[in-house]
Amino acid sequence: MFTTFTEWARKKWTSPAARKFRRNKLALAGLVIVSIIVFCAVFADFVAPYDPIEKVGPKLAPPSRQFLLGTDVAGRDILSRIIYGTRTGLMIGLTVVGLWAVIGVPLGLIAGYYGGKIDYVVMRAADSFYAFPQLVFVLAISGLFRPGLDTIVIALGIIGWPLYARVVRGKVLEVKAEEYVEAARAFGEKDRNIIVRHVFPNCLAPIIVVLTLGLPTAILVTSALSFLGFGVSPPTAEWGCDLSSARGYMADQWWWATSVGLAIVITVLGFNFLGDGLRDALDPRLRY
Amino acid sequence: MAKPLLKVRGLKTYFFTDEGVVKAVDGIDFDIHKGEIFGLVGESGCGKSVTALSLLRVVQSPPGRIVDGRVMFEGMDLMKISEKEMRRVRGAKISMIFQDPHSSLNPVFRIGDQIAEAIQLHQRAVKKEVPSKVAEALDLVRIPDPRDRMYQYPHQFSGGMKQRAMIAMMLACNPALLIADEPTTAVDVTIQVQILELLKELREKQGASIMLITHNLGVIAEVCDRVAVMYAGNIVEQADMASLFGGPKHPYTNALLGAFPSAEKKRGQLTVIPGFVPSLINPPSGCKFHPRCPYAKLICTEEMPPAVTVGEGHIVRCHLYEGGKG
Amino acid sequence: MRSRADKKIVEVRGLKKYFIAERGLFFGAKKWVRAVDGVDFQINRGEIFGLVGESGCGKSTVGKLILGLWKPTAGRVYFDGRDIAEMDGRELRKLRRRMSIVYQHPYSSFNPRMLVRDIVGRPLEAFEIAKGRRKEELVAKALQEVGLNPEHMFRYPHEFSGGQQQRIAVARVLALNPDFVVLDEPTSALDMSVQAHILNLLSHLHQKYNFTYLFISHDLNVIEHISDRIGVMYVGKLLEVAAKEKLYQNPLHPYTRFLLEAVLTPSPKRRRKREILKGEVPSPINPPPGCRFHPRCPYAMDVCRKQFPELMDVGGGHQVACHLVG
Repeated sequence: MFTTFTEWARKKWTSPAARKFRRNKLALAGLVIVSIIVFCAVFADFVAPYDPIEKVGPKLAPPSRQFLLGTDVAGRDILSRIIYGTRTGLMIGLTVVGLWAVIGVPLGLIAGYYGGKIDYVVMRAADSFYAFPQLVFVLAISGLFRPGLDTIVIALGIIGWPLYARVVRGKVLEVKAEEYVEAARAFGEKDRNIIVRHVFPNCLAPIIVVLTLGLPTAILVTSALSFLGFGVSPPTAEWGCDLSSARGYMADQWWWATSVGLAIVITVLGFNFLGDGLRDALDPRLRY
Repeated sequence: MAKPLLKVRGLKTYFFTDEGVVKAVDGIDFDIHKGEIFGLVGESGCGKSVTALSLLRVVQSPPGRIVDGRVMFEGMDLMKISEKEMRRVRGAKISMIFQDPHSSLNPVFRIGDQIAEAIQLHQRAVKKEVPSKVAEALDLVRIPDPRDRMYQYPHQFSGGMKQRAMIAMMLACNPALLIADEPTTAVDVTIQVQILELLKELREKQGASIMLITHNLGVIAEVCDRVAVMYAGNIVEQADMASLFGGPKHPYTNALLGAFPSAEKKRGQLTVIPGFVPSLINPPSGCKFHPRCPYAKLICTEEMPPAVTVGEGHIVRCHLYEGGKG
Repeated sequence: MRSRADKKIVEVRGLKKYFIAERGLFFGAKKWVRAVDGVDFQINRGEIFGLVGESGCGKSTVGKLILGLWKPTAGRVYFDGRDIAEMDGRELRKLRRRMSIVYQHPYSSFNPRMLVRDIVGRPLEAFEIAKGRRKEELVAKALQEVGLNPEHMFRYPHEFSGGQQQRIAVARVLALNPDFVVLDEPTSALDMSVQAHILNLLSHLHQKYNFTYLFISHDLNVIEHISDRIGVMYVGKLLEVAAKEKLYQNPLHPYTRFLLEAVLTPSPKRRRKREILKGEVPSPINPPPGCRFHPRCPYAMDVCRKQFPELMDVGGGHQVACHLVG
């Protein structure tokens, strides 16, 4: 089992797609940034110098050797909060993106493969959901139900799937036209097996790309919501939330808002570069 | 025999790739005479297309390079002249058409304009005369209603007509030698005979000299006067048409003719050549055909057989015929 | 006692398949591709039926329609006496066990991420014939039968040459042991020597297992060589059907005669002037009215422009669709 994994890994590493990816400097930068963020998220307990929730120093202290990015209004280390923020952001982002995939991918598969009425219904549903402004919808749902992180995540998850369905459906239509799919039918394969064995594996590449590009969107939107006061509430370490708090202190303690803001920007850029690089390497013809 | 129009001696074109040196053309000699149709035949990978590209010095470089050889044409060695002089040869003295006419014609320009461009480039034609020269060229290749057709775009032409328009473009420059690389492979069978008939007419009426490259033995038999058979970068046999098809000497030629399906041959009994086409990076030692040859002897594994004349104009490279005997 | 009707394994009546060429303003179609435009014929058990024609004639489409891979626009396909249009999805899938296909380009008919073992063996699992160890045994047997090393089943298709890939495709059919096989230009993409291999293999298997073949090709030499009976198609219509010898000795349809004239073989004797068909092969989008061939036919009469002639039996199983006959 181990040998086949290393073989597979080597095959992937030397494949033309991987080579193309490696040549793309921005994509590599993105990979580095994302790796750092994931590392921070997983090993936050070891990486962060302080506990993010405890008061560990004077309030609103400027950056120093002790507190590299200074402290916030409650005396918490900003750097540590940013590091732990990766964990929060990533978890929320992954959940939202996971929902998008879980709803969108199967719908895209059956719409693309079976066509006809099913395709029509699914695509019109996708159009309707797509037409809704994401933020407004989430706020509205928040208003209707309990405002809180769960509601936000679920609302976002429900509204954002159309893109995934569309991308998958497009790829399915492309794969469906391949001769080996027709051959599979000619040799007795049942429809659902064709989807599982032939169609779906070919859809993985575009799915990975849109997931990677969707993650920063999810993170950004949830940060925006937290900034507005919905979703996450203090003392949880979350960037949007912190940014909201930091806003009031922009004049004198500008380093607080700036560092949190930069963290958001770098994260989003990192994922975008990575996603673009993956797309160029795997499937440059990806159209949304 | 009169001095040949084109004399190729020892042509070698290699491709220097990451995987090794691909010896696409590995030392070939042949002559093309004025007013004859010379056929170069072989299966895929034998080097026939690369030969044509080498004559015109348009081999993709890198990774390809003509490493040796002389190509005598109109008193010059084409391998030695400058690129500037070569440009004057290309198109004007030696021109070439390819298998796929779709990609050779620009879809956004009218057919007439593209032919006019060729004419203006290579003939000193007065501007007023150009349209009638274009119509003449189209008429020469038997395109109906040439005066109307020349205002049409390539997509309005069928595959066969596009191929003929390409030939017209080639002829517009009045070249001494036309090279046609698989001109009928992408075309229907009833159109193929039309185009081959056209080539024959060009030879008869215009005295054109043509080098025809194909993998199709039937096409060769139909139009060629003399034929050379290529295998793995070498010419293994060359002769006039009747001698080659009536009395092939090289085992590969024999096997190829035996493999040709026809109604007379019994089902299941076509000649099969065992083994595989050899690698051009690591070709077999000695005669490259020896691993697949039913008559291979020890010497075949050691030495590439020399070219031996076994009949009038009939040359073979095979140890079976050393010393001129059969 | 078997009735004469039992001789047929496949029968096709009034078969039509139109594709949308251009969409109209609303939901209708402005232009249709009449790929198959009313075709009737039958294939007898155990025979090799060759379907030949130039581009756009619809021969490949006929093959796919017979297998039920595409639904006809009109007309019926009968397999073993049963109308396949009346079968539901499950029955049709079961029917596929008895009919199989070999494509022109083997590589595109394989999922490139699958091992050869699964490409050949998956149908066995899909039809619940065998799985696991037993499946591998059957795959090994099939690979051996087509001349491949059974150990190669653990490789990927791209590791094989074109000819070997086509043999894998044949193995896939063999493992299933169907009654009827559609061969859609199985050798058109292969070199001549490789083609000979595959043709021999197909002939041997046909004899050994008593398959029935529908052999589709544009190459008349191949069709001549391998078929028992031949059907000639032109722009969606069937023009003539006859046993091979009868078609050669006595081609009745003018198109058939021109087609046979266009066959090129590597014979040493130069043929005297061929009768060359003028004009282009029409597109199936706007086919000529009446008899599709009339614009190019030197014998065209008034009635030919107005009405398509019915396919008529002139004795001995020889059928023609031509106003000149009958």
